[in-house]
Amino acid sequence: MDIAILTRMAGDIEKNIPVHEETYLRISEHLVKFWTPKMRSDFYKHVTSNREEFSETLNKVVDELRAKANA
Amino acid sequence: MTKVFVSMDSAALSMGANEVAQAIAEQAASAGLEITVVRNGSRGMLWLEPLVEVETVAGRVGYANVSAEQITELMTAGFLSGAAHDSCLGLVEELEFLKNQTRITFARVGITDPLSLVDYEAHGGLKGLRTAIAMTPAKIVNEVTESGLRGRGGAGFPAGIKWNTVLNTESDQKYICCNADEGDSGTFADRMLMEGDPFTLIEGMIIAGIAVGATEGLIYVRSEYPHAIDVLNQAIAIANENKVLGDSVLGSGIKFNLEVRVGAGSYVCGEETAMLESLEGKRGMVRAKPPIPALVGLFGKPTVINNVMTLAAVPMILADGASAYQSFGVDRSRGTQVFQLAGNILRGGIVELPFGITLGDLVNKVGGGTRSGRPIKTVQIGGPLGAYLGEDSWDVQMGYESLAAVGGMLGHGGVVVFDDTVNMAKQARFAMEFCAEESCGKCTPCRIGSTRGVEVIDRIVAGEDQAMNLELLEDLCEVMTDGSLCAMGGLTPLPVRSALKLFPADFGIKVEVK
Amino acid sequence: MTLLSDPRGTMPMRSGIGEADYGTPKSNSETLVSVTIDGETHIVPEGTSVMRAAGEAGCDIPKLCATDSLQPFGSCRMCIVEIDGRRGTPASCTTPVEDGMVVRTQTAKVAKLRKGVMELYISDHPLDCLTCSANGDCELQDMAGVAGLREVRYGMDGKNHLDAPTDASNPYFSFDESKCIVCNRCVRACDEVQGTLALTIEGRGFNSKVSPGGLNFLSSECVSCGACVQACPTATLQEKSVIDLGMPTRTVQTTCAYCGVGCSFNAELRGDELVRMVPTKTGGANEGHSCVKGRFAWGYASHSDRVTKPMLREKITDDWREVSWDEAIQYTATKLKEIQAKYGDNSIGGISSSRCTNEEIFVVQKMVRAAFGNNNIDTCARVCHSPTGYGLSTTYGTSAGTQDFKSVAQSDVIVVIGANPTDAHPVFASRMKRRIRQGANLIVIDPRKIDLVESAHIKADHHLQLQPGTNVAVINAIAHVIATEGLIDEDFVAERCDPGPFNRWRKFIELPENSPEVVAAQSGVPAETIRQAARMYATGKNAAIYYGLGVTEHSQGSTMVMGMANLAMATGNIGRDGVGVNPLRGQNNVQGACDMGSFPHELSGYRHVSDNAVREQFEMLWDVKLMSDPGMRIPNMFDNAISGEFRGLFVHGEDIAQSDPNTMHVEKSLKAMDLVVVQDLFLNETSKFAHVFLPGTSFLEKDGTFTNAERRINRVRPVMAAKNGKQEWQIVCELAQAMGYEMHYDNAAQIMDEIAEITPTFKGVSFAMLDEVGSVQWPCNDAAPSGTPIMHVDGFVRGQGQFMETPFVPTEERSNRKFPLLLTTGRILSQYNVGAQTRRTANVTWHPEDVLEIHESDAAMRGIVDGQKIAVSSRIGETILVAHVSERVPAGVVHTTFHHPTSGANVITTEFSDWATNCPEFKVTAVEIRPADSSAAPTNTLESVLTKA
Repeated sequence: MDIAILTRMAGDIEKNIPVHEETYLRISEHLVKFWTPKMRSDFYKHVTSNREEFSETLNKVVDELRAKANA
Repeated sequence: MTKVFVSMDSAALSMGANEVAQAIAEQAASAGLEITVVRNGSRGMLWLEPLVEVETVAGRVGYANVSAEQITELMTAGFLSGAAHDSCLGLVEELEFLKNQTRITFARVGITDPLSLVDYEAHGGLKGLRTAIAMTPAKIVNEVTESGLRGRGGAGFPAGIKWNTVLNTESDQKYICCNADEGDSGTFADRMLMEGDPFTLIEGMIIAGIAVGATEGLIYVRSEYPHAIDVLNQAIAIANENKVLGDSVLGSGIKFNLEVRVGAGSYVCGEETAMLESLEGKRGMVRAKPPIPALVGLFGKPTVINNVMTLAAVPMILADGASAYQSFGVDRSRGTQVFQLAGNILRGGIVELPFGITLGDLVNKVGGGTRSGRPIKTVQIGGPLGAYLGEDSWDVQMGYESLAAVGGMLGHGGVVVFDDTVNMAKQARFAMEFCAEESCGKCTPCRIGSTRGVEVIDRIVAGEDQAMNLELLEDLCEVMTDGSLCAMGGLTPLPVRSALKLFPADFGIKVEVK
Repeated sequence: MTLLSDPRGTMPMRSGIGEADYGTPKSNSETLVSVTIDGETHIVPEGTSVMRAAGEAGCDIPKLCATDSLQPFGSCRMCIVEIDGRRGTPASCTTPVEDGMVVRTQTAKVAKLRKGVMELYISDHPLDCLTCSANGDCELQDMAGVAGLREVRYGMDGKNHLDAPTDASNPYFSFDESKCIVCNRCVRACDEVQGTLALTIEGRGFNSKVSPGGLNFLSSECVSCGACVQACPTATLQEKSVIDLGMPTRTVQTTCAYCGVGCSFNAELRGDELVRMVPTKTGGANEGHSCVKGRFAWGYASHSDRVTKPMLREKITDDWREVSWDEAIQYTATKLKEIQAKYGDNSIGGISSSRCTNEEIFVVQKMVRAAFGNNNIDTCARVCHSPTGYGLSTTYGTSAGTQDFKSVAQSDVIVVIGANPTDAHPVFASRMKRRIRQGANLIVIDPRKIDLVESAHIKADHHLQLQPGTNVAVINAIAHVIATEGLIDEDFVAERCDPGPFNRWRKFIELPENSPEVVAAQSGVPAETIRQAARMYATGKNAAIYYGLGVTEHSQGSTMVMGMANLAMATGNIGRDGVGVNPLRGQNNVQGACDMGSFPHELSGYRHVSDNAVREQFEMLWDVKLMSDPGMRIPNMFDNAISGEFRGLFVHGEDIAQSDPNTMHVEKSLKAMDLVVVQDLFLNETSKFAHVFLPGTSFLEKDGTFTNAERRINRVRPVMAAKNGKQEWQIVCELAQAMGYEMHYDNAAQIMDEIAEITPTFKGVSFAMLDEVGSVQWPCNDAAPSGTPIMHVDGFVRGQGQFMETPFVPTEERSNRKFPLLLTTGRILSQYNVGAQTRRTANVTWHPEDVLEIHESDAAMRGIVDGQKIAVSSRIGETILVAHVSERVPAGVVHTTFHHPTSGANVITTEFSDWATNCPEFKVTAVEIRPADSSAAPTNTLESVLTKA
């Protein structure tokens, strides 16, 4: 899937989940619950190689999820 | 300053009263005489209109059937000081026709300026309202109940009982609706009161409102009464200005607002539930009862619906007490009745008398027999759907019970006289035709039955299969009487059956009528 | 003169073959009174009419103007009785029983009167019973018999209406005035049942006649719901199909396949030919009412466009080739397996249909999960109510509306948000309007001035006419007022909701950015209007929210659903009659499609595929290993098709090429696939890109269940044999088997048994049970054996209610200099969705083409006049529509429907979608409009795309 679409989808999710301590958890939860594994892994790859383009929260989301997936 | 009275009642106007009043004013002015022309209501002596009355030291002197052209002549004769003239009647109050009446409801009509609240009060107005304000609602209702006042619209239902039902029904809103859709032929009392003494009706409605806890009143006036509508609207405006109506009636803190609504030209809207439909802006169609309007009335709220005459009797009852009113009348017909003499009669007009006068006395003595001078053949009482009564009923007393006993009904008090030239088959046919014309079309007996009634009567008169058609007419009358939804269809057989029974010959009947 | 044919021995039952008519509505009083009728004593609820009491006791009183769907009227005078102690002969319909009342229904007196009345009726009625279309189903005929009328002594040459003309303007029914008995049933049905008030009685007395106002029925306000036809006791208002085909002789009870109201109907047949559809009085959703679609627009089922044989083609440029079922299924299976072999298990998927039965949907998702071996199953609910599922399950714990339809009769404040029920859910709208006429307050939140804002005897107390795309801002402002003005139901919240999220929400909602004053600038709704609406909602006793796609089809669809859920919790408007949060579902079985596990992330009963315990149950039952990760959503499928990862699609009864946004994109992805399989009734837009066409069955041929918007599971019964020779679930099973997965059922009932076995909320459901009780609302299980009309009564399904913060994030799709207008889309009464069915019926009489509603000033500015062809362009594409200058839309907003493929509304809709569910943002597209003939020919129109295809 086009990475631009995934990036926009992740951005929409982030914008709609209010910013507080649980935000990254809720975004992670959302991605696990609704995204296919391939969408997630494509997105992780893209974020980890273009970190500066993504917010701190999304970076944190990806790190958490990768850690979990590898665990 | 000399006061001259020229009626502004529609009946007088139709005879040229305005022109007469104008001519008097103009000629007095040009003669340099200072006079006041008061436009009063009508005295109810319709055969004398335009009636001009001049105030003198002795009392009000009347001149009958005055025309504008006659004014010069009358001026010359000195009528402004009550001088003699061919048309002079002498003191109006002393006229036989008036002198023997008991005018309670019509006490002020023809005497006062209808739109002068000062005049109204000076003649005893607002006394009943002041009394009512000092009473509890239950006490007012009790007073009306005790007076024996019954609905003057035709049904004769005790007013106090109706009011009591509304009083005892909890609701955030209640209404007083005055039925002024006076549609019966030969009736005009409502109109004459509204034109001649509107404050009496207004006062009666306010008292009703206080009695049952209603703050809104509506007067449903037929569109054929433009003058009455105009007078009522002016009177309501005056009453509002003078705090008789409004947020605090006479400073009592009690609210009552009043509004005139104009009907849409349908006879059946005089039926109370059809009137409610019409007031709600719907087609004037009869509602099934129950529920009765006292419980579920206008816009579903408890509603007092009374006729003009009923409500107009109330101020006097409160002013003079229930027993004063109750002391008049016979049987359970208490108080006075405003009879309206019409048709082929010598002296037509308003006759207010206690219940109990005989029919014969009413039409012959008071009314003076027919205008044509021919013998009276029949009298129809209670409008176009009232029974025809013949000579054998001359002795019947005018009252709800006594009339019912001879198959008649009082209705709204209209008495229409016919001389011996009338064809009663035509009258019977007219009753059915009237019903066909005015039926709201809701229930089958009235909607189809009335049309079939005309056809069957025609066949009887034409001599077609009379025995079968007479039986059919009788069956139809039974279906209409017992099967109709309201009094419209239910009463139509009354004139038909009575005409047939009294005057079978007029129908060309060759067989025996059952 | 002898009269008529012999009367039938039974009382009339016009309301539907076999349904009793007690003449007046049931009384719901709990006080009982005793009444003696013809010597026998009966106990009935207070307020019951004498007529109904007698009827329930098996003693039918003759009647003509009374029918139990209408308030008593008392006009026909056939039902008169004698009552001890009462004068005269009162009508039994308008007389309520009183305790101790003694009634005599059969006396010489009333018999004579009834006969007399009947003689009058017949004196103005044609004596053509034997050739009349209602012969045998005419209450007048029956009553003439009951009254013992043998002759009409009036003769037939009196004044009459026998020459009155017939109004045949309506395509479905005719009005033969000569047969009218002026009973007013049609007028009253139009007023009381439908609430359109299109009919009236014109004239009075003998000249009284039913009139639709205006020239004729078609040109009148009539919405052709048919309530008048159903109410008519004679042949005056009669279905043209009955006139043409004759009286039906048998009945099959089934469920309408149009909107999510799910009306029950008696399909009345003559032999195997469907003659008419009559709404079932005992139908839980509709209680005897219907709309123009359900009652009349069923002719598409036998339309000549129906494809009844499977078809194949190698390339989409080839012609279709009719093949045998075996060949079609084998070909499809082989192709799908080839694709999977080449591109991996995840390279194929399926889309289930909200138009099909629960059983059909269940087998489709089972085929995908078990035979395809992935979770690439999605449903058309994706493009309509997926945010409802997300929002309500997050806050309340269940993906469904909270109330039954009846509940609205107890509402004191009704809030309609982004829904147009009078067009899209007409039968429910009639219920709602009835309640509003009784005095309930109404708040409408919609960019358009929909009919509910102001129509006959209906006027919204507040219309919050917001800019498209600002729903969340407005709902937040309403909540802000409630929170800051002390209107929160603190007791309810403390008792029922999770305090942590609530406190956080409260802090959020009280922020000044959510105040009406700030939101007024964003939404265009005056702050004071928002404040008044908020107070009305919070303080009006029972307040209920009803919403539609105007809520969900936004980039913040899910947020808005949660915003409404918050509001209901904050004011304690949940868990009893008259309140709640209620989606008005678009499709007949969109609820069922979601319940049946059509979403890629969850199995039936809304259980996530990652839940090991649940998955194991399915694996055990289905004897197959299931994937534990979610599969692709429809938009993911399209995107992955373009990128080459997704190559085969099974589309069940959905026309994605017409109904999904950004048509160009959809078509590009369809063209990129190796195999597109369409199972449908007609060759539709999607089938233009398909390789295999599998003919489906119409609802008249199906055996199964639909679940409506109130979670009511209704039976769909086969009215006629399947025209394609197979039930749709059979086709799916055969395909799964051909792919190597053993899947077999003897009948649809077995599928429901499997659903019940594996889905806790359906545990008590079976065809046998439904056939016995009629219908049931899930959850239906041991805890609620007779179903659950109202949800969350004692506690939320998820335990404690969860408040969710709902920040307003404006959509990126906004008007600009190039595209200064906002386009929003909707539905019209006579047409349905992409129009595949309704366009193939006489419903096109009312809506032959899609139009673009545009405000006068916007039209004038562009030199556009009413009826002119105009080009509508967005940054995505351009299409041609006809302009309709209208006051319903405010300046700056335009509106169209999408019922006709030629108008291609979705050619211009964008790729934006709900952040949580990817439900497309159909309701906001920035567009510009110009007269179509004033400049160069439009590009990228649907037609040009199709020609290229």
